[in-house]
Amino acid sequence: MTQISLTDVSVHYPIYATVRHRSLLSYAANRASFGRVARDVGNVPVVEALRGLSLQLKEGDRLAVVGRNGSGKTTLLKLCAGLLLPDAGRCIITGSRAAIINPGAGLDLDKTGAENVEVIGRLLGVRKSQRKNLLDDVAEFTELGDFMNLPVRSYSSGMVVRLLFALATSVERDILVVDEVIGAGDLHFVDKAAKRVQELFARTKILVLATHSPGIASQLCTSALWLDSGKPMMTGAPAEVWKAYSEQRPPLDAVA
Amino acid sequence: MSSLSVSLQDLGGSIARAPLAAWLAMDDVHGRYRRTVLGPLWITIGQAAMVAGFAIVFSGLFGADPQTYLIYLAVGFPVWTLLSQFLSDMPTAFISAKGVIESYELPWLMHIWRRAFGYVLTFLHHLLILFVVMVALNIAPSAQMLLAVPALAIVLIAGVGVGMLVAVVGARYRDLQPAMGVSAGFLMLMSPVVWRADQLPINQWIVQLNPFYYYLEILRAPLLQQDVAPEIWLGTSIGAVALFCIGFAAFVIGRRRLYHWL
Repeated sequence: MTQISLTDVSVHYPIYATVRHRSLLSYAANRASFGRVARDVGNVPVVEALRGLSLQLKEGDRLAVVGRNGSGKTTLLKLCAGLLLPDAGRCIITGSRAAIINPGAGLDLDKTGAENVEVIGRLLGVRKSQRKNLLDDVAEFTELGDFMNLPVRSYSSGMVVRLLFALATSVERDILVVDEVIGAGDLHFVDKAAKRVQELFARTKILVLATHSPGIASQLCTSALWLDSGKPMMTGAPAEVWKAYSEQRPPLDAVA
Repeated sequence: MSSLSVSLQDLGGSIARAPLAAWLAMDDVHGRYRRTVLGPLWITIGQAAMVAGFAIVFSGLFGADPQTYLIYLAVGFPVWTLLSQFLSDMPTAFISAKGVIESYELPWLMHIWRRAFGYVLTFLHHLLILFVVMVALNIAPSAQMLLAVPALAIVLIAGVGVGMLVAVVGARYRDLQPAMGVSAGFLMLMSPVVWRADQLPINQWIVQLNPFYYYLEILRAPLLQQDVAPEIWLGTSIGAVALFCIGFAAFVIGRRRLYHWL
């Protein structure tokens, strides 16, 4: 059974503001001098990225996460992707996971497109028998043609984006976590990309999508969660949550 | 999901993904020499120059038999490089894998195995020199050399243990890696790599208290067709298990915060 179950979860982030916070030497000096030297070593500022969040997602759920920058959206995504563990509360995630948070990882510019598909296919856990299909699929979607056999270094930036996008959207997992950067930004960009993403989302059992677009939230998701300063403000139908969220936003002149 | 259960799952998964780690390690080695004609053979050439240089200069200085000394170095350098990489290279194992960790559902410890297999590959390239030297000096191989295989396994377990520890600490404290890099030369001089343990007239403790000595010995002696004392087999095996446990404990403790540190 695929599920994401968060109960009263909190996540704290340490902020290593100075070089000393990251230095074993400063730490040793601080300890050896009983705290008299390098005093700031012990006080690493901590940000509460998520506070008291409870969330139950089961098969078929598509959650849009909305909120301002720094509201904890990405932290929630990383929690659902298994990258972070909660500092308090319970977090149960069952099912295979894929995260589109940082597309481009593992790409080697000196390798050809096809060689990169081979490496990334292995990283994605694509079986040997399926890797040929992956290559065909990526080649067809990207329309890179002969460029597939040239080093990625020689690609235009648009070609690199197409390759990364094709790879990131190539495998199906139970749980898919998508940060707005690729998911939303590119959605309206190209019809072909939009279609591919929607097909992938449709095959995914649970989708968690961070977005700044009300259209995407209500079009692709069944529910929405509004986060503010790490706290859950509202859960419900995407359109309602978006309405409440946008009304709550300070008018532009207040920000300026 | 507690840190322990996540870490145990990770460890099991990383062992199951050993073939992937080995393939990636091979790809890493090829990648480093992608734009050269000789490819990974550069590893062997560099090492050959080092061994030859030391053999010419130091056999005279030490008054050692040049042939014996040559073969001693041809084994000693590769083994030392293998051991020291676990300390000097592993601190960046998680840091440089950040993107892959974020993007693919892979055990995090796979990155430790990936590096460890890379060191073993480099070691095997270095060992080519030994076989060239053996042919040149007309030394016949013997079955005793096969003891290097279990010895390599012991070194690998100990090394992965050390690797887990320094990779976690190295992610948190960014000066660990340069500190280790700086210490490598010192540690090599303090270990019987270019000199022999039995040549040390005074300060025998330098050898006796040096853990590197025992791991050097266990892998070097079989390749030199010499016996290893049973105590050393036992001691290094226990040490390897202990180091593995310490390293894994560091991973369990660090796992909760590890992603923040990357």
